[in-house]
Amino acid sequence: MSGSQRHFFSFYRLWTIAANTMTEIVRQKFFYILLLFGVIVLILSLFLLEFSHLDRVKFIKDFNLAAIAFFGALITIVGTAELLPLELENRTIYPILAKPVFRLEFLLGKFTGMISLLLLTLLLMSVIFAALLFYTETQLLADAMAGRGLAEGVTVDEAVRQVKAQVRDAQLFKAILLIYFKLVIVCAVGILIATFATSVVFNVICTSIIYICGHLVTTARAEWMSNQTVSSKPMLGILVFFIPDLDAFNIADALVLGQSVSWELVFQTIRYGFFYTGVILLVAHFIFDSKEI
Amino acid sequence: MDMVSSTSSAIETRNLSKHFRVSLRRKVIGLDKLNFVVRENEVYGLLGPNGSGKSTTIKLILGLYQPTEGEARLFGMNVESVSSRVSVGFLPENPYFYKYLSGEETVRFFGRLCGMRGRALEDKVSELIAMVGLERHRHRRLGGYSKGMLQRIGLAQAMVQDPKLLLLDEPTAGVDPIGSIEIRDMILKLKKMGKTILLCSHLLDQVQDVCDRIGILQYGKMILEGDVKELLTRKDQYQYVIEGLSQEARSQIGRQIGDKGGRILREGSPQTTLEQLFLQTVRQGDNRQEGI
Ligand SMILES: Nc1ncnc2c1ncn2[C@@H]1O[C@H](COP(=O)(O)OP(=O)(O)OP(=O)(O)O)[C@@H](O)[C@H]1O
Ligand SMILES: [Mg+2]
Repeated sequence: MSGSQRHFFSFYRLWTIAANTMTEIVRQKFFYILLLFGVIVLILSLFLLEFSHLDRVKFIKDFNLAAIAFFGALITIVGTAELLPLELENRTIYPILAKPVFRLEFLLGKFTGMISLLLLTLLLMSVIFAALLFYTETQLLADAMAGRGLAEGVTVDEAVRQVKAQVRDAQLFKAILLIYFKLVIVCAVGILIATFATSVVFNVICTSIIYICGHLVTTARAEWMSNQTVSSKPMLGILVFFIPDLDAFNIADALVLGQSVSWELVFQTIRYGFFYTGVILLVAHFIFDSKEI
Repeated sequence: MDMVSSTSSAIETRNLSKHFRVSLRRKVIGLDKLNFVVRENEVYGLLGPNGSGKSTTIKLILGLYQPTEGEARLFGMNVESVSSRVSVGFLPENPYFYKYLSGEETVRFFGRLCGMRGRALEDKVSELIAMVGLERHRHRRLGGYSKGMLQRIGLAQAMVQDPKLLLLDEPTAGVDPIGSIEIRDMILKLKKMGKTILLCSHLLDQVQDVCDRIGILQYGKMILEGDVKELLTRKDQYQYVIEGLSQEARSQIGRQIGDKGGRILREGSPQTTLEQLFLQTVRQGDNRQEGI
C-alpha cells in the first residue's frame, strides 16, 4: 500500500514546534516588558547599595538571586499560561495537527520551547549578575589596595584574597541552576493545568498558588508529621504529597549565609525535579491526547 | 473492510457522525451517519448550505474531531493514526495561522512539520510562494495580510509536502476573481498530476468546472451524490451527436423524427447548470425537513 510508511515520534518536529514557541513568546510584548523590568531591577541593586550599610557583595548576591528567581517565575507562569489556551482559542492547532504531528510532539514541543527560552533568559540575567559582581569587585579591590576600610590587623593581601573569594563564588552557579530546575517544574505544572483549563487568567492564578504552596511544603510536612489535629490533616496531606517541594530548590539563603551546598545535594534535587516533571508531563499527555480540540 | 475498496479509495467514511453538545440538554447534529468514498485521482465537490456539515466532515477526516459514531479512513488507514496524514494537505475554512510569522516562515514551519529540511525545503517554500503570487509579501507578518492573501498562504502551506490528497475548505473564499480562476486552474493541474482533491465550495460554477463527482449535504446528511455529468444530464430528453451526415440526410431524419412524434428542441448539449440542480435539491430537502 502506498501510504503505509510507518510514522514515529520525531525530535525534529518537536524542536520545530519548540523553536516556533520561542518565536511566539519573544514576539510578544509581555516578555520584553518583564525581561526589561528584570534587568532594570538587577542593575538597581548597584544604586540601592548607596543606602545600604550591609556587606556589599552579600547584598548584591542576595538581591540578584531573589530578583532572578522572581522574574524567572513571573515569565514562566505568564508565558506557560498562554501556551495552550491561545492555540485552542485561535485554532492554530488545527493546521498543525492536520500535518502528520503527534499530539505528544506538540505538547512536549510547547514545553521544550518554554524551558529553552527560560534557559536563555536566566543566562542573560546571570551574565548581568556576573557583570555587577565584577564591577563591585574592581571597586572593592581598589579600596583594599588603597588601604581604605581595612579591618584591624588585616593586611592588604588578605583583604584582596577575601574580596576575591567572596565574589568568585562557584556556589552561585548551583543556586541559579536550581532556580532553573524549579522553573522547569513550574512550567510543567502550568502546562498540565492548561490541558484542562482554557482561561489564561485562571491558569496564571492556579499556577501562582501552586508556586507559593510549593515553597511552604517543607513547613507543611513538618506540621503534618507532628500535628495531631484531625481537621487540617487531609488538607496538609494533599499539600505535602501533590504539590512539588519548590523550597528544596531554594539554596540562595544558605549561600548568602556562607554555608556551602554540596554537588551531591544539588544533583539529588535536580533528580527530584526530573522525576516530578516527568510525572506531571505524563499526566498532561494523557489528558491532552484524549481532549476534544 | 475489503482490500479493493481500501486501496483504491483516498477517503472512505462509514456511518461517520458527530454530535456537538452545546448545553447540558441540547445537542447539535453536525454530521449524521455519512457514508461516502472519494476515489484516488478524483476531484470531489462537497456542497451544501451553511451549517450543513462540510467543515465538520473535513475535520473528522483529519482526526481533529473525534467521531460520535462511525469511522473514516484515508488511503485505507484509520484517521485515528497519525500516519494517515503523511500525504494530506489541509486548507482550513478560516486562516488559523500564527499572526506573528511571515508568509515565508509559515510555509517553512509547516514544511518542517512534514519532516522537510535544508535546500529542498527552501526551494519548495520559494516555489509555493511564487505559485500563490505572494513574492512581494513573503517577508510580511500574517497579522497584516488581507483575507485573500491569507487564503493563498493557506493553500501554499497545504501543498508543502506535495501531498497526494488535498482537503480544501472554500479555497476561493475572499480571493479576487483572477485568483479564483488561478485556483481553479491549479486544481485541474493537480488532478492531471494524479492528486486527489476534496473541495468544499459555494461557487457552483467552479465546482461544475473542476469536479468529477459531487455530494450535497444538508442537516448533516448526504442528500444527493453522483457523477457531475450524469447528474446534470436531463433524462427526459435525448441527444444524438452525429458526424458525417449531409444537410439533406439531416433534414430527412428531422422529418422522420417529426413523423414519429418527436420534436427537435435545439442542437448542442442539453444540460442544466449545477446551480439550478443545487437550488432544486436543497429546496426539496427543506420541504422534507418541514414535513417531519
Ligand atoms: N465546534 C463546534 N461546536 C459546536 N457546534 C459545531 C462545532 N462545529 C460545527 N458545529 C455545528 O455543526 C454544524 C455543521 O457545521 P459546519 O461548520 O460543518 O458547516 P459547513 O457546512 O462547513 O457550513 P459553511 O458553509 O458555513 O462553512 C453546524 O450546525 C454548526 O453549528
Ligand atoms: Mg464550513
